[in-house]
Amino acid sequence: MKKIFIKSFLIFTTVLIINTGCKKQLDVQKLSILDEAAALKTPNGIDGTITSIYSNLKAQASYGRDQLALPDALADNGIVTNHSGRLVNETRNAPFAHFVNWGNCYNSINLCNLVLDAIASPGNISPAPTAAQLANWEGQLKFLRALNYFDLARNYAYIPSFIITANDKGGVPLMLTGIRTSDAANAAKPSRGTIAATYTQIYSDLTTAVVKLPTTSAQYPYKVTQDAAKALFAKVCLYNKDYVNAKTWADQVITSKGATLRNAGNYVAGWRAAINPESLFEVAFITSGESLGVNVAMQSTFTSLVTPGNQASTGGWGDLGASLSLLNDLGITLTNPATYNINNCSVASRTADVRNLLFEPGSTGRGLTFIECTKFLGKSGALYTDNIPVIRIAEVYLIRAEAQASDAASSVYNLINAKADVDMIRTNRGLLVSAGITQSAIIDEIVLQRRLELAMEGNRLYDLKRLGRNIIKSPFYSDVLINDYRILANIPQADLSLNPNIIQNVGY
Amino acid sequence: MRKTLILLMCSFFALTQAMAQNRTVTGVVTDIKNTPLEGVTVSTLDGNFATQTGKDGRYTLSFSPNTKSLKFTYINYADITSAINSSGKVNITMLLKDKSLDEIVVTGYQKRRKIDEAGAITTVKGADIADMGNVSIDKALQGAAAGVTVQANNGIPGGNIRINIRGLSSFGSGTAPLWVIDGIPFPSGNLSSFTQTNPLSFLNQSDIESIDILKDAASTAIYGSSGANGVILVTTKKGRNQKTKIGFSYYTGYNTVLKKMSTLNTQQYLAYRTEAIDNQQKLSNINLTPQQLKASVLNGIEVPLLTGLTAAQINAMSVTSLDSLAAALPNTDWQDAIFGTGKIDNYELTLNGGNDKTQFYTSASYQSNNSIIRKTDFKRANVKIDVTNKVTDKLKVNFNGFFSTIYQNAPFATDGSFLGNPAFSGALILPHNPVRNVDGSYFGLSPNKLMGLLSHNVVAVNEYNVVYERTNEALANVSIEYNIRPWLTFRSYGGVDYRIVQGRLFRDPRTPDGFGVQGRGTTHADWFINLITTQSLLFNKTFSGKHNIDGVVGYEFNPRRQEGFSASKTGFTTYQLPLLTAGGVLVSSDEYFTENKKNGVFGAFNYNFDRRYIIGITGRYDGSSKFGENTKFGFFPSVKVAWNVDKENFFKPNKYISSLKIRASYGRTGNDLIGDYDALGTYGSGSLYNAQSGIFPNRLASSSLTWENIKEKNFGIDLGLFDNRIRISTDVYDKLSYDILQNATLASYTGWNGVRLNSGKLSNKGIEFQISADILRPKSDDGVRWTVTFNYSNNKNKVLEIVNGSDVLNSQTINLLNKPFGAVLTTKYAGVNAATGRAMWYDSLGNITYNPQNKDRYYAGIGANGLPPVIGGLSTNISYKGISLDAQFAYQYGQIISDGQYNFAMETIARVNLIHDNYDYRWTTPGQVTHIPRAQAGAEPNGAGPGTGDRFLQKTDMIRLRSLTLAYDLNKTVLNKLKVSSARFYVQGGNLYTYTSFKGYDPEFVTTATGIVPQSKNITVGVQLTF
Repeated sequence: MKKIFIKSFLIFTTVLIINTGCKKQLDVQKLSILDEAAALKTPNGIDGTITSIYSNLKAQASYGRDQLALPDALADNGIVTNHSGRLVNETRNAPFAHFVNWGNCYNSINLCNLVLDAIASPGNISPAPTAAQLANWEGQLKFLRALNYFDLARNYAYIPSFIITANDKGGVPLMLTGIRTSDAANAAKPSRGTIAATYTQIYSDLTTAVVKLPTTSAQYPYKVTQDAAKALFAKVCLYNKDYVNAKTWADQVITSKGATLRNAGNYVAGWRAAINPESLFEVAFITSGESLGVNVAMQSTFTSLVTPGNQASTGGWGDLGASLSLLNDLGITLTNPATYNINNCSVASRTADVRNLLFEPGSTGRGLTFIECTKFLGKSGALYTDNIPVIRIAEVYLIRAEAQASDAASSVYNLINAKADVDMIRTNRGLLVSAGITQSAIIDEIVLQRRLELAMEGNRLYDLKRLGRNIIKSPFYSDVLINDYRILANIPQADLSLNPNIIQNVGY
Repeated sequence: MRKTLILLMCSFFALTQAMAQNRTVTGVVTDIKNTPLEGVTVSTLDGNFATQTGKDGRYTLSFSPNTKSLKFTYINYADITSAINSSGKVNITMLLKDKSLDEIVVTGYQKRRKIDEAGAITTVKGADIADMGNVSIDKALQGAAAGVTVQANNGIPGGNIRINIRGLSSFGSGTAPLWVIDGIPFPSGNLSSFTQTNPLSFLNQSDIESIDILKDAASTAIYGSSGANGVILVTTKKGRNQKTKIGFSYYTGYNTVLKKMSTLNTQQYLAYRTEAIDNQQKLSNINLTPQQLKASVLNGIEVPLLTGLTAAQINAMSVTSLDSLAAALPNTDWQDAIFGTGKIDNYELTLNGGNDKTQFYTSASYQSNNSIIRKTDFKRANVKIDVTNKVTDKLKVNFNGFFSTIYQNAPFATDGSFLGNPAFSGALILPHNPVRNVDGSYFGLSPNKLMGLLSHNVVAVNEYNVVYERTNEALANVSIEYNIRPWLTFRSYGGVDYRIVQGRLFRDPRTPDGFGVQGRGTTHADWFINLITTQSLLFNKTFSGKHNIDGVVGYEFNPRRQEGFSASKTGFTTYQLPLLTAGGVLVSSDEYFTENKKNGVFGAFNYNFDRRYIIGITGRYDGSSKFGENTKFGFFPSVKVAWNVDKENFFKPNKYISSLKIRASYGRTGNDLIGDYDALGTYGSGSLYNAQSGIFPNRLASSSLTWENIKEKNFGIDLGLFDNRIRISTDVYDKLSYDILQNATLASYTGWNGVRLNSGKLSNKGIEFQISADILRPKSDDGVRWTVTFNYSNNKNKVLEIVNGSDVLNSQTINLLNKPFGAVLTTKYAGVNAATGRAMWYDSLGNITYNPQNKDRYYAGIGANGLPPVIGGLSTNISYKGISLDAQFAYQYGQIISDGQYNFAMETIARVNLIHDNYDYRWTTPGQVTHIPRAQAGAEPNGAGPGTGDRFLQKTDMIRLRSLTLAYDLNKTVLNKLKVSSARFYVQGGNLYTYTSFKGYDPEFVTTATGIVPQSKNITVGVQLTF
């Protein structure tokens, strides 16, 4: 008996010691995750990560909704429908109701940095990438990093062309190395730097991108090419009052893609196609699984209609209607608009501007009806699933026009050419050539055409902001003057608490 | 032949007896007061010779000469063994049995006498909570044990229950206690996708023998891992050495609503809406004519959809015609359409018996429980089998298994403001919507709609949609016990907990959510496998009569794996074919996989001297795969001491104090309730762009991630008064959680949201008090017995440190330093401006403002993410002869929560139907003093919405009659006639009464009340028979 006891005790303790001494027993399978150190050591891993950076553009805070809807809501193009309650605060310019793309953009920027760091040592990548592959990667990554910095800069900082010095707290923090460890994350304490420094960085990335990117892509316009980078560069230059370069890049894009501009006869059809033929870069929403859904998808944000002209069929919410001043500019006259509201009005008449055909009364199924924008109608083949144009050729014409009209001291100052570009847009949209020939008349015409051409495409706030113009929203809502703090978005509180080097914008 | 044999045997026994009976002893047995005791069994130690005392307490027993002593046994009295003296007379005084020696508590890996235990452990007997109409046992613990907070998420039968022991002990990792069912650590989290399935609902409550709740760290430290939130040990019934008893029980009844909201009828709603539109227009300096206003209201509520009139026709009507059109609108209370009574049925069959070699307990049960909202239900069938076999005197084997299948039809959503969610929309759909057309078909089916914002006919939606979840659970274990020595046992134990949860959701194309996409179907299957093996040595020995030691050392290994699959399609050919095969467009198909493993060695050593001085130490060295490469292991020690004062010689039994025990303990436990891979730096998948799939970094490495710790001190006193008629048990504790496994926020410019790390401190200090009193004790079994038990706990929770000494708000929850977890910071509502009817608030200086800012916020109290600090219960039971009346109350105090469902009905913009609280007290005329703002269809200009701030925070304080039971047990005479060994009939009511000022459906829910199936009342009648 004693023997059995001793034996079993010995076996027992041995098993115990072997088992616990062995950490191996705690090894687990990891089918769902990839070790961070191995992820970027294959071309597939790099391609996959770049795919994620593009995919981030689909987020609600980015081109999924806010980057297109908020510049119109915060400015004077939108009106509250209160169908779902969304965008009410933004349209009323309530404090803190503003862009929230800070985290999403920096997430993309970090992905860009991680991959750029990885491809800086191509020897670590297996199988070894070709030179063309490396160039394409670098071009796409630098374009995407530039686009994300540009979206941060125009939301959280002043645009170089118009700065309220007293309220200027700088540009945005520049993160140019990938963060791979929590130590690195905690150690990173950047300051905002100057606005100029931010734009210098964007220039630097785009300068590389326009060279390294391919001229064509099998995935055009969903993946960027040289034309897309040049168009973005032209826009950045315009924001930076760098009219010479703005014209240079716009010239090159127009040479390459100028012919894609639609005319009055096929303009509306262009907006009904899954891919707008004028687009130089679109954020792809292909399948219904990618849709942001009935609450925030672009279609639902702008219209409650499913089919144009059928008010009886209800789709989304139509949270942001078109403001009375936008409708006036578009040449739409309403039946019996009240002084303070334009709900349940129908369209009494329209001018020949074909762009107003994309505005019509919404579905009766969402309560009060407003005039809604139908640029997004589930064109990818499923409800609430639309590709999002980031930049179109029409805008490039208007950029070139403005570059040539803005500064009499500029070497590219040429009012005749500027007028020709803006008339190019007018005549292709059903209007006659413009009348004004003075610099200010031409600039006003360009700003007006930008409002009409790019309505609900996320430009109006920046156009007013960079030109130092007040946002006139009365009598519906209070005006927002150009020196108002609500012109700039608020930086997330956590980032300020964790890093005292970052200064919050005034008013928050 | 047989007769001969029997005769032979009889004579053989007679012979032996006659030959052996050569010694006789006589005597008297009395109690301490010298009263003779009748019926005392007097026997020899081998049991071969026995007799009973007569009325006068006298006995005479003859036996073989080699017998040295006699044994006296009597019910309720302590056994006495007495040596036989030469006189042949043995008089005995018997003492009432010290029942405390029989009380057993289950501690980690051991069963111990309660008298020897120094930890803070509360035991709930299975019999006390069975048949209370609860679907799962966690709910049954509500109010039943001091320090245990139990809150139902909602009223879905089998839905989630939040249970916390001694407050929330972490704000970073999980706070659910560890459930251990017959030795298997049982993860209690919900696994189902389309409804809530509380995994504990697989258990049939009648199978439960006892539930032991280990509360202090010294008691839970033996479970080192995951012991931090307390441990709940469930012990189920075992077979007995008896003739097989067959038990049958059945109960039936129904669930019904606790409360309906007092909603407006059509005409009242019209009046409010008219006022709201009028006020809105007036704000814009527009005065509509009565005709314009009325037409605009009727068009606004989409009367054309009902009448066939066009909006233009309505706009052209005269005031009189508009009035008669409005007056003719139908009226429906949609709450009546969605709420109903739900039937409850429960059947059980148990077999319990065996001999001294083999005992078995098996049971089978079926329960069907329909909630008050149609098609939200719960059906469970389960079987338990428990067999114990004594192979030899030293070797015992046991098999114990549970097999159950649960089928639940699910609501449209378990919570949230979804238009198709009946629990959300029911009270809010505009009342002029009929449920059905005149021809009996549903009104407003796609492509049509209901009138108003809530456009989905929820009755049709819930009839047509198919949503269900099925949970199959197998929980089984085998153990082998070998007695190496009488005091030393080796126990080898292996268990498995295997679950498959599968579900289907089909949004019918006839309903709005399925219409646009021609039906949307989703199906999922999740597998969960939890294995455990425990090897242990148990010892228990008494030295020199007074030194008692017992304890256990062991080793345990526990791997867990979970994986699953889901797919979704749209574009179905027809609603009649809801399987994915019939869908045309693949929307998504996804898989996941996750795994963790734990191992550990543990030991407990208990010593007591003469049951007076007690000391216990435990230790566990535990490893978890979730932590960093070199930080996987943690050591969790504890020590506890106790002093049974009443066992001291100086403590003379007196009529006031009958028992007294003082306990103290200190221990450290750990928590690893975080994601399986949280320490690793990883890339995940699932992003998609232009039909290409992507990968992305999804977690920063946290290589030194390790156990979250809790240190806890406990001090307790157990006191019995007046012959133990009153029993008091009270504990105070001081619990400090540190190295909390929180997701520390990182500055988002780094590209990361946060990283899991050990940081932060949280304190829970509290007091628990329980008193039980036998107010009336019967002299005989037929007398009146009345017992009352009351418990109270008060826990003070305080966040001491958030992350690395900084006060950055945790991204997930409101987390304020030096305030309880879940603190609510908000602005103070200042009522209504009597001149305009506009809602006002106070700013930080106490001035009135329409636009309160963040800086104006104050600390309002403990909100939805925290717990009510004060909880407790009261139960009382009166019985007389076979009749008994039992009532159990639970109460909670000290939490404030905003009820989303109520808030919608209090809106001033009149987009949904409203309630009388809003309508009856709204501001209507200048100078009127009220707390309810004006009706106003638009947003207030340059100001906050009327629901801002603390206006809608409500106290969830309540006292609830959880259960009231009237039962009748048939008496022995009748039973004997019927040849039945026991029979009980009862009527039981659950949640019959709630005392509360809360204005929503129910003050008991977790986090949000928007669109949840509210809890219900239930009434059941039942019968229990044993043959």
